Amino acid sequence: MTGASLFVILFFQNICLNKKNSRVLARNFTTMKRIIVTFFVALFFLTNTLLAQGAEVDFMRSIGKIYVVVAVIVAVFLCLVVFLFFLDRKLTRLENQIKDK
Amino acid sequence: MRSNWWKILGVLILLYVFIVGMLVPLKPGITSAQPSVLQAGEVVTMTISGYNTFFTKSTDHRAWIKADDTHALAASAIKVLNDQQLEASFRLPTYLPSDEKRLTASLLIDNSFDGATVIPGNLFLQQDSTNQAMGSQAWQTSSIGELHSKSGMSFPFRAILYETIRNTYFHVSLWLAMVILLITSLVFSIRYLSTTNPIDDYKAMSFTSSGLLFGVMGITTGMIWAKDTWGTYWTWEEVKMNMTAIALLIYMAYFVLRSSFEDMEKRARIAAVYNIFAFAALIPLIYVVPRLTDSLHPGSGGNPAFGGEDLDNTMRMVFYPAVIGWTLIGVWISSLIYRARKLEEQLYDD
Repeated sequence: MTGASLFVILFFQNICLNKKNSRVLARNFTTMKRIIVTFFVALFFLTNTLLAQGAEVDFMRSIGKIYVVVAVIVAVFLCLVVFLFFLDRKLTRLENQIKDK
Repeated sequence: MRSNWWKILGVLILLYVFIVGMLVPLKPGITSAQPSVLQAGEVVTMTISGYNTFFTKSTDHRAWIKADDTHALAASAIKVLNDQQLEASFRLPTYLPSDEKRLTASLLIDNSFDGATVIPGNLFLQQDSTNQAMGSQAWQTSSIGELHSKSGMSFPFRAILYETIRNTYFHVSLWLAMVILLITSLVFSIRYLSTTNPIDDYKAMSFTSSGLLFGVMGITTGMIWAKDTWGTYWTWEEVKMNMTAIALLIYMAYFVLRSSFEDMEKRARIAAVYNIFAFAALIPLIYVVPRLTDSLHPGSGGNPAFGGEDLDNTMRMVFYPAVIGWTLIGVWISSLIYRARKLEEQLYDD
Protein backbone atom coordinates (compact mmCIF):
# COMPACT_ATOMS: atom_id res chain seq x y z
CA MET A 1 0.00 0.00 0.00
CA THR A 2 2.72 2.45 0.99
CA GLY A 3 4.76 1.44 -2.06
CA ALA A 4 1.80 2.01 -4.35
CA SER A 5 1.07 5.42 -2.81
CA LEU A 6 4.72 6.45 -3.19
CA PHE A 7 4.59 5.41 -6.84
CA VAL A 8 1.44 7.49 -7.42
CA ILE A 9 2.96 10.50 -5.65
CA LEU A 10 6.05 10.31 -7.86
CA PHE A 11 3.84 9.87 -10.91
CA PHE A 12 1.80 12.98 -10.06
CA GLN A 13 4.91 14.96 -9.33
CA ASN A 14 6.21 13.91 -12.70
CA ILE A 15 3.09 15.20 -14.44
CA CYS A 16 3.38 18.52 -12.66
CA LEU A 17 7.12 18.95 -13.10
CA ASN A 18 7.75 17.43 -16.51
CA LYS A 19 7.57 20.35 -18.93
CA LYS A 20 7.91 18.21 -22.05
CA ASN A 21 4.89 16.05 -21.40
CA SER A 22 2.53 18.68 -20.08
CA ARG A 23 3.37 22.16 -21.22
CA VAL A 24 -0.02 23.55 -20.24
CA LEU A 25 0.17 22.16 -16.75
CA ALA A 26 3.75 23.29 -16.26
CA ARG A 27 2.90 26.82 -17.33
CA ASN A 28 -0.11 27.09 -15.07
CA PHE A 29 1.44 25.50 -12.04
CA THR A 30 3.68 27.66 -9.93
CA THR A 31 6.20 25.99 -7.65
CA MET A 32 3.93 26.59 -4.65
CA LYS A 33 1.05 24.86 -6.35
CA ARG A 34 3.20 21.88 -7.25
CA ILE A 35 4.09 21.51 -3.62
CA ILE A 36 0.46 21.80 -2.60
CA VAL A 37 -0.71 19.21 -5.14
CA THR A 38 2.01 16.80 -4.05
CA PHE A 39 1.05 17.40 -0.44
CA PHE A 40 -2.63 16.69 -1.05
CA VAL A 41 -1.96 13.53 -3.03
CA ALA A 42 0.47 12.33 -0.36
CA LEU A 43 -2.06 13.08 2.34
CA PHE A 44 -4.85 11.29 0.49
CA PHE A 45 -2.82 8.11 0.22
CA LEU A 46 -1.52 8.40 3.74
CA THR A 47 -5.11 8.62 5.03
CA ASN A 48 -6.03 5.59 2.96
CA THR A 49 -3.18 3.63 4.45
CA LEU A 50 -4.25 4.63 7.94
CA LEU A 51 -7.87 3.71 7.25
CA ALA A 52 -6.79 0.29 5.96
CA GLN A 53 -5.09 -0.26 9.31
CA GLY A 54 -8.23 0.95 11.06
CA ALA A 55 -10.17 -2.00 9.71
CA GLU A 56 -8.22 -4.32 12.01
CA VAL A 57 -7.92 -2.24 15.16
CA ASP A 58 -10.09 0.87 15.35
CA PHE A 59 -7.32 3.38 14.78
CA MET A 60 -9.32 6.56 15.28
CA ARG A 61 -10.72 5.33 18.59
CA SER A 62 -7.40 4.10 20.01
CA ILE A 63 -5.46 5.90 22.78
CA GLY A 64 -8.50 7.74 24.09
CA LYS A 65 -9.57 8.92 20.59
CA ILE A 66 -6.60 11.28 20.42
CA TYR A 67 -6.41 10.80 16.63
CA VAL A 68 -9.80 12.50 16.30
CA VAL A 69 -8.16 15.64 17.72
CA VAL A 70 -5.27 15.17 15.29
CA ALA A 71 -7.72 14.80 12.38
CA VAL A 72 -9.57 17.95 13.47
CA ILE A 73 -6.35 19.97 13.59
CA VAL A 74 -5.32 18.60 10.18
CA ALA A 75 -8.75 19.60 8.81
CA VAL A 76 -8.36 23.16 10.13
CA PHE A 77 -4.88 23.32 8.62
CA LEU A 78 -6.09 21.98 5.26
CA CYS A 79 -8.94 24.52 5.12
CA LEU A 80 -6.43 27.32 5.72
CA VAL A 81 -4.12 25.89 3.02
CA VAL A 82 -6.98 25.66 0.50
CA PHE A 83 -7.90 29.25 1.32
CA LEU A 84 -4.27 30.35 0.81
CA PHE A 85 -4.19 28.46 -2.48
CA PHE A 86 -7.16 30.43 -3.81
CA LEU A 87 -5.86 33.74 -2.47
CA ASP A 88 -2.52 32.96 -4.10
CA ARG A 89 -4.28 32.33 -7.39
CA LYS A 90 -6.22 35.58 -7.14
CA LEU A 91 -3.07 37.60 -6.38
CA THR A 92 -1.20 35.94 -9.27
CA ARG A 93 -4.03 36.97 -11.58
CA LEU A 94 -3.91 40.54 -10.29
CA GLU A 95 -0.14 40.68 -10.65
CA ASN A 96 -0.39 39.49 -14.23
CA GLN A 97 -3.03 42.10 -14.99
CA ILE A 98 -0.88 44.86 -13.51
CA LYS A 99 2.09 43.59 -15.54
CA ASP A 100 0.00 43.67 -18.72
CA LYS A 101 -0.91 47.33 -18.24
CA MET B 1 6.40 45.94 11.92
CA ARG B 2 4.74 48.07 14.58
CA SER B 3 1.35 47.78 12.91
CA ASN B 4 1.68 44.00 12.70
CA TRP B 5 1.87 43.33 16.44
CA TRP B 6 -1.64 41.86 16.57
CA LYS B 7 -0.79 39.27 13.91
CA ILE B 8 2.17 38.10 15.98
CA LEU B 9 -0.02 38.17 19.07
CA GLY B 10 -2.62 35.99 17.33
CA VAL B 11 0.00 33.45 16.28
CA LEU B 12 1.56 33.39 19.78
CA ILE B 13 -1.84 32.90 21.42
CA LEU B 14 -2.65 30.02 19.06
CA LEU B 15 0.76 28.52 19.74
CA TYR B 16 -0.08 28.60 23.45
CA VAL B 17 -3.45 27.03 22.71
CA PHE B 18 -1.88 24.21 20.67
CA ILE B 19 0.83 23.46 23.22
CA VAL B 20 -1.24 23.67 26.39
CA GLY B 21 -4.36 22.24 24.72
CA MET B 22 -2.50 19.15 23.58
CA LEU B 23 -0.11 18.58 26.50
CA VAL B 24 -2.26 18.99 29.60
CA PRO B 25 -3.41 15.48 30.59
CA LEU B 26 -6.96 14.37 31.17
CA LYS B 27 -8.20 13.61 34.68
CA PRO B 28 -8.16 9.89 35.48
CA GLY B 29 -11.46 8.23 34.69
CA ILE B 30 -13.20 4.86 34.89
CA THR B 31 -14.07 3.39 31.51
CA SER B 32 -15.81 0.23 32.66
CA ALA B 33 -16.75 -1.82 35.72
CA GLN B 34 -17.64 -5.46 35.20
CA PRO B 35 -19.99 -7.06 36.15
CA SER B 36 -22.41 -4.15 36.15
CA VAL B 37 -25.52 -6.03 37.29
CA LEU B 38 -25.22 -6.96 40.98
CA GLN B 39 -27.46 -9.19 43.07
CA ALA B 40 -28.08 -8.28 46.71
CA GLY B 41 -26.70 -10.73 49.21
CA GLU B 42 -23.86 -11.92 47.03
CA VAL B 43 -20.12 -11.36 47.13
CA VAL B 44 -18.98 -9.69 43.91
CA THR B 45 -15.48 -9.17 42.58
CA MET B 46 -15.62 -6.31 40.16
CA THR B 47 -12.95 -5.58 37.54
CA ILE B 48 -12.55 -1.83 37.16
CA SER B 49 -10.77 -0.42 34.10
CA GLY B 50 -9.42 3.10 34.22
CA TYR B 51 -8.21 5.61 31.68
CA ASN B 52 -5.13 7.73 32.46
CA THR B 53 -4.97 6.12 35.87
CA PHE B 54 -1.87 5.07 37.78
CA PHE B 55 -3.20 2.44 40.17
CA THR B 56 0.24 1.04 41.00
CA LYS B 57 1.52 4.41 42.21
CA SER B 58 -0.55 4.45 45.38
CA THR B 59 -1.45 1.89 48.00
CA ASP B 60 -4.37 3.57 49.78
CA HIS B 61 -7.11 2.45 47.36
CA ARG B 62 -10.71 2.73 48.44
CA ALA B 63 -13.89 1.97 46.49
CA TRP B 64 -17.59 2.43 47.07
CA ILE B 65 -20.85 1.51 45.43
CA LYS B 66 -22.87 4.65 45.91
CA ALA B 67 -26.63 4.08 45.93
CA ASP B 68 -27.54 7.69 46.74
CA ASP B 69 -26.19 10.63 48.74
CA THR B 70 -26.47 8.93 52.10
CA HIS B 71 -26.07 5.25 51.21
CA ALA B 72 -22.78 3.75 50.12
CA LEU B 73 -21.06 0.41 50.44
CA ALA B 74 -17.28 0.20 50.82
CA ALA B 75 -15.25 -2.49 49.10
CA SER B 76 -14.04 -5.23 51.42
CA ALA B 77 -10.85 -5.88 49.45
CA ILE B 78 -9.04 -4.21 46.55
CA LYS B 79 -6.37 -5.80 44.38
CA VAL B 80 -4.37 -3.74 41.90
CA LEU B 81 -3.71 -5.67 38.67
CA ASN B 82 -1.87 -2.96 36.78
CA ASP B 83 -2.03 0.81 36.21
CA GLN B 84 -5.30 0.56 34.31
CA GLN B 85 -7.03 -2.27 36.14
CA LEU B 86 -7.99 -3.17 39.65
CA GLU B 87 -10.27 -5.71 41.28
CA ALA B 88 -12.62 -4.66 44.03
CA SER B 89 -14.64 -7.11 46.11
CA PHE B 90 -17.98 -6.09 47.58
CA ARG B 91 -20.03 -8.02 50.12
CA LEU B 92 -23.53 -6.88 49.19
CA PRO B 93 -26.03 -6.91 52.11
CA THR B 94 -29.26 -8.90 51.72
CA TYR B 95 -31.35 -5.77 51.28
CA LEU B 96 -30.84 -2.61 49.28
CA PRO B 97 -31.61 0.85 50.73
CA SER B 98 -34.69 1.16 48.56
CA ASP B 99 -38.28 -0.06 48.37
CA GLU B 100 -37.80 -0.87 44.68
CA LYS B 101 -36.41 -4.16 43.39
CA ARG B 102 -33.97 -2.45 41.09
CA LEU B 103 -31.64 0.41 41.84
CA THR B 104 -29.13 2.37 39.78
CA ALA B 105 -25.84 3.06 41.52
CA SER B 106 -22.53 4.75 40.86
CA LEU B 107 -19.05 3.48 41.43
CA LEU B 108 -16.58 5.70 43.25
CA ILE B 109 -12.90 4.99 43.67
CA ASP B 110 -10.30 7.04 45.47
CA ASN B 111 -6.57 6.98 46.00
CA SER B 112 -3.92 9.52 46.88
CA PHE B 113 -2.26 9.70 43.45
CA ASP B 114 -5.20 9.82 41.02
CA GLY B 115 -7.70 11.42 43.36
CA ALA B 116 -11.36 10.49 43.42
CA THR B 117 -13.02 9.15 40.26
CA VAL B 118 -16.65 8.29 39.70
CA ILE B 119 -18.56 6.42 37.01
CA PRO B 120 -22.11 7.67 37.47
CA GLY B 121 -25.20 5.48 37.13
CA ASN B 122 -23.38 2.55 35.57
CA LEU B 123 -24.27 -0.17 38.09
CA PHE B 124 -27.61 -1.93 38.44
CA LEU B 125 -28.48 -3.46 41.80
CA GLN B 126 -31.18 -6.10 42.16
CA GLN B 127 -32.93 -7.61 45.15
CA ASP B 128 -35.58 -10.30 45.38
CA SER B 129 -37.51 -8.85 48.32
CA THR B 130 -37.47 -5.37 49.77
CA ASN B 131 -36.84 -4.15 53.29
CA GLN B 132 -35.92 -0.52 53.22
CA ALA B 133 -35.18 -0.14 56.93
CA MET B 134 -32.71 -3.01 57.06
CA GLY B 135 -31.21 -2.02 53.75
CA SER B 136 -30.66 1.53 54.92
CA GLN B 137 -28.98 0.33 58.05
CA ALA B 138 -26.64 -2.05 56.21
CA TRP B 139 -25.63 0.52 53.63
CA GLN B 140 -25.18 3.42 56.00
CA THR B 141 -22.46 1.85 58.10
CA SER B 142 -19.80 2.52 55.50
CA SER B 143 -19.42 6.23 55.09
CA ILE B 144 -17.21 7.97 52.56
CA GLY B 145 -14.61 9.99 54.38
CA GLU B 146 -12.22 12.57 53.02
CA LEU B 147 -11.60 12.19 49.28
CA HIS B 148 -8.35 13.00 47.51
CA SER B 149 -8.02 15.26 44.52
CA LYS B 150 -5.37 15.03 41.81
CA SER B 151 -2.74 17.75 41.93
CA GLY B 152 -1.72 19.72 38.85
CA MET B 153 -3.52 20.96 35.76
CA SER B 154 -5.85 18.55 33.99
CA PHE B 155 -8.86 18.58 31.67
CA PRO B 156 -12.12 16.87 32.63
CA PHE B 157 -12.58 13.21 31.77
CA ARG B 158 -15.88 12.52 30.01
CA ALA B 159 -17.00 9.08 28.87
CA ILE B 160 -17.28 8.75 25.06
CA LEU B 161 -15.42 12.04 24.56
CA TYR B 162 -12.10 11.03 26.15
CA GLU B 163 -9.27 13.08 24.58
CA THR B 164 -11.58 14.67 22.03
CA ILE B 165 -12.65 17.13 24.72
CA ARG B 166 -9.59 19.04 23.43
CA ASN B 167 -11.53 19.72 20.24
CA THR B 168 -13.25 22.48 22.20
CA TYR B 169 -10.23 24.62 21.25
CA PHE B 170 -10.27 23.64 17.58
CA HIS B 171 -14.00 23.46 16.88
CA VAL B 172 -16.09 25.49 19.32
CA SER B 173 -13.69 28.45 19.32
CA LEU B 174 -13.86 28.57 15.49
CA TRP B 175 -17.60 29.15 15.67
CA LEU B 176 -17.24 31.93 18.22
CA ALA B 177 -14.54 33.52 16.05
CA MET B 178 -16.92 33.23 13.09
CA VAL B 179 -19.68 35.03 14.96
CA ILE B 180 -17.26 37.82 15.96
CA LEU B 181 -16.10 38.20 12.33
CA LEU B 182 -19.68 38.25 11.04
CA ILE B 183 -20.65 40.89 13.63
CA THR B 184 -17.73 43.02 12.37
CA SER B 185 -18.98 42.51 8.83
CA LEU B 186 -22.46 43.57 9.93
CA VAL B 187 -21.07 46.75 11.48
CA PHE B 188 -19.31 47.64 8.21
CA SER B 189 -22.46 46.89 6.22
CA ILE B 190 -24.50 49.22 8.41
CA ARG B 191 -21.76 51.82 8.11
CA TYR B 192 -21.82 51.50 4.35
CA LEU B 193 -25.53 52.28 4.26
CA SER B 194 -24.93 55.54 6.12
CA THR B 195 -21.66 56.61 4.43
CA THR B 196 -21.91 54.89 0.99
CA ASN B 197 -18.13 54.70 1.11
CA PRO B 198 -17.01 51.70 -1.05
CA ILE B 199 -14.20 51.01 1.46
CA ASP B 200 -16.83 49.95 4.01
CA ASP B 201 -18.37 47.61 1.47
CA TYR B 202 -15.02 45.95 0.77
CA LYS B 203 -14.39 45.55 4.48
CA ALA B 204 -17.82 44.02 5.02
CA MET B 205 -17.16 41.63 2.13
CA SER B 206 -13.73 40.61 3.49
CA PHE B 207 -15.05 39.93 6.98
CA THR B 208 -17.92 37.88 5.56
CA SER B 209 -15.44 35.81 3.51
CA SER B 210 -13.25 35.05 6.49
CA GLY B 211 -16.33 34.38 8.63
CA LEU B 212 -17.53 31.91 6.04
CA LEU B 213 -14.11 30.26 5.96
CA PHE B 214 -14.29 29.81 9.73
CA GLY B 215 -17.82 28.45 9.40
CA VAL B 216 -16.68 25.89 6.84
CA MET B 217 -13.76 24.95 9.11
CA GLY B 218 -16.19 24.65 12.02
CA ILE B 219 -18.55 22.35 10.15
CA THR B 220 -15.69 20.19 8.82
CA THR B 221 -14.12 19.75 12.25
CA GLY B 222 -17.57 19.12 13.71
CA MET B 223 -18.20 16.33 11.21
CA ILE B 224 -14.89 14.64 12.04
CA TRP B 225 -15.65 14.95 15.76
CA ALA B 226 -19.17 13.58 15.25
CA LYS B 227 -17.87 10.52 13.37
CA ASP B 228 -16.11 9.08 16.40
CA THR B 229 -18.45 10.25 19.13
CA TRP B 230 -21.92 10.01 17.57
CA GLY B 231 -20.96 7.40 14.99
CA THR B 232 -21.76 9.33 11.83
CA TYR B 233 -20.41 12.30 9.90
CA TRP B 234 -23.82 13.83 9.33
CA THR B 235 -27.29 13.19 10.61
CA TRP B 236 -30.41 14.99 9.47
CA GLU B 237 -31.98 14.51 12.90
CA GLU B 238 -29.35 16.74 14.46
CA VAL B 239 -30.89 20.21 14.54
CA LYS B 240 -27.74 22.19 15.22
CA MET B 241 -25.94 20.67 12.23
CA ASN B 242 -28.80 21.43 9.86
CA MET B 243 -29.31 24.95 11.14
CA THR B 244 -25.62 25.83 10.82
CA ALA B 245 -25.58 24.34 7.32
CA ILE B 246 -28.54 26.59 6.40
CA ALA B 247 -26.81 29.60 7.97
CA LEU B 248 -23.67 28.92 5.93
CA LEU B 249 -25.73 28.56 2.74
CA ILE B 250 -27.36 31.93 3.46
CA TYR B 251 -23.91 33.48 3.72
CA MET B 252 -22.74 31.72 0.54
CA ALA B 253 -25.72 33.28 -1.23
CA TYR B 254 -24.29 36.66 -0.19
CA PHE B 255 -21.40 36.10 -2.61
CA VAL B 256 -23.69 34.83 -5.35
CA LEU B 257 -25.76 37.98 -4.90
CA ARG B 258 -22.68 40.19 -5.09
CA SER B 259 -21.45 38.60 -8.28
CA SER B 260 -24.79 39.08 -10.01
CA PHE B 261 -24.62 42.89 -10.07
CA GLU B 262 -22.50 44.82 -12.54
CA ASP B 263 -23.14 48.23 -11.08
CA MET B 264 -20.80 48.90 -8.14
CA GLU B 265 -23.08 51.07 -6.08
CA LYS B 266 -26.13 48.88 -6.55
CA ARG B 267 -24.13 45.79 -5.63
CA ALA B 268 -22.71 47.37 -2.50
CA ARG B 269 -26.08 48.64 -1.31
CA ILE B 270 -27.99 45.41 -1.90
CA ALA B 271 -25.15 43.34 -0.43
CA ALA B 272 -25.18 45.51 2.70
CA VAL B 273 -28.92 45.10 3.16
CA TYR B 274 -28.68 41.35 2.49
CA ASN B 275 -25.86 41.05 5.03
CA ILE B 276 -28.03 42.60 7.72
CA PHE B 277 -30.83 40.13 6.97
CA ALA B 278 -28.37 37.23 6.82
CA PHE B 279 -27.08 38.12 10.28
CA ALA B 280 -30.62 38.45 11.58
CA ALA B 281 -31.20 34.88 10.36
CA LEU B 282 -27.86 33.56 11.66
CA ILE B 283 -28.42 34.24 15.35
CA PRO B 284 -31.75 32.42 15.65
CA LEU B 285 -30.48 29.60 13.42
CA ILE B 286 -27.39 28.80 15.45
CA TYR B 287 -28.26 30.04 18.94
CA VAL B 288 -32.05 29.98 19.38
CA VAL B 289 -33.60 27.15 17.34
CA PRO B 290 -31.16 24.40 18.49
CA ARG B 291 -31.97 25.19 22.11
CA LEU B 292 -35.68 24.68 21.58
CA THR B 293 -35.43 21.01 20.66
CA ASP B 294 -33.52 18.00 21.91
CA SER B 295 -30.38 16.98 20.10
CA LEU B 296 -27.03 15.31 20.56
CA HIS B 297 -25.09 18.53 20.31
CA PRO B 298 -24.24 20.33 23.55
CA GLY B 299 -26.03 23.64 23.78
CA SER B 300 -29.30 22.13 22.65
CA GLY B 301 -32.50 21.12 24.37
CA GLY B 302 -32.06 23.90 26.89
CA ASN B 303 -28.69 22.74 28.22
CA PRO B 304 -26.06 25.42 27.84
CA ALA B 305 -22.91 24.16 26.16
CA PHE B 306 -20.64 26.14 28.41
CA GLY B 307 -20.87 25.06 31.97
CA GLY B 308 -20.59 22.18 34.34
CA GLU B 309 -18.25 19.41 33.35
CA ASP B 310 -18.05 20.36 29.66
CA LEU B 311 -15.93 23.43 30.29
CA ASP B 312 -14.25 23.74 33.66
CA ASN B 313 -11.90 26.50 34.75
CA THR B 314 -8.80 24.73 33.42
CA MET B 315 -10.37 24.52 29.99
CA ARG B 316 -11.43 28.16 30.12
CA MET B 317 -7.74 29.07 30.49
CA VAL B 318 -7.21 27.65 27.01
CA PHE B 319 -10.63 28.14 25.45
CA TYR B 320 -10.91 31.94 25.76
CA PRO B 321 -7.37 32.54 24.42
CA ALA B 322 -8.30 30.17 21.55
CA VAL B 323 -11.29 32.36 20.67
CA ILE B 324 -9.13 35.50 20.74
CA GLY B 325 -6.35 33.80 18.74
CA TRP B 326 -8.67 32.49 16.02
CA THR B 327 -10.40 35.87 15.82
CA LEU B 328 -7.06 37.65 15.30
CA ILE B 329 -6.15 35.15 12.56
CA GLY B 330 -9.58 35.79 11.06
CA VAL B 331 -8.96 39.54 11.05
CA TRP B 332 -5.58 38.91 9.42
CA ILE B 333 -7.24 36.80 6.70
CA SER B 334 -9.88 39.52 6.21
CA SER B 335 -7.19 42.15 5.80
CA LEU B 336 -5.54 40.04 3.07
CA ILE B 337 -8.82 39.65 1.20
CA TYR B 338 -9.50 43.37 1.63
CA ARG B 339 -6.11 44.33 0.19
CA ALA B 340 -6.57 41.99 -2.80
CA ARG B 341 -10.04 43.42 -3.38
CA LYS B 342 -8.75 47.00 -3.26
CA LEU B 343 -6.01 46.17 -5.77
CA GLU B 344 -8.62 44.68 -8.06
CA GLU B 345 -10.77 47.79 -7.79
CA GLN B 346 -7.87 50.13 -8.53
CA LEU B 347 -7.01 48.02 -11.55
CA TYR B 348 -10.50 48.31 -13.03
CA ASP B 349 -10.98 51.99 -12.13
CA ASP B 350 -7.97 53.24 -14.09
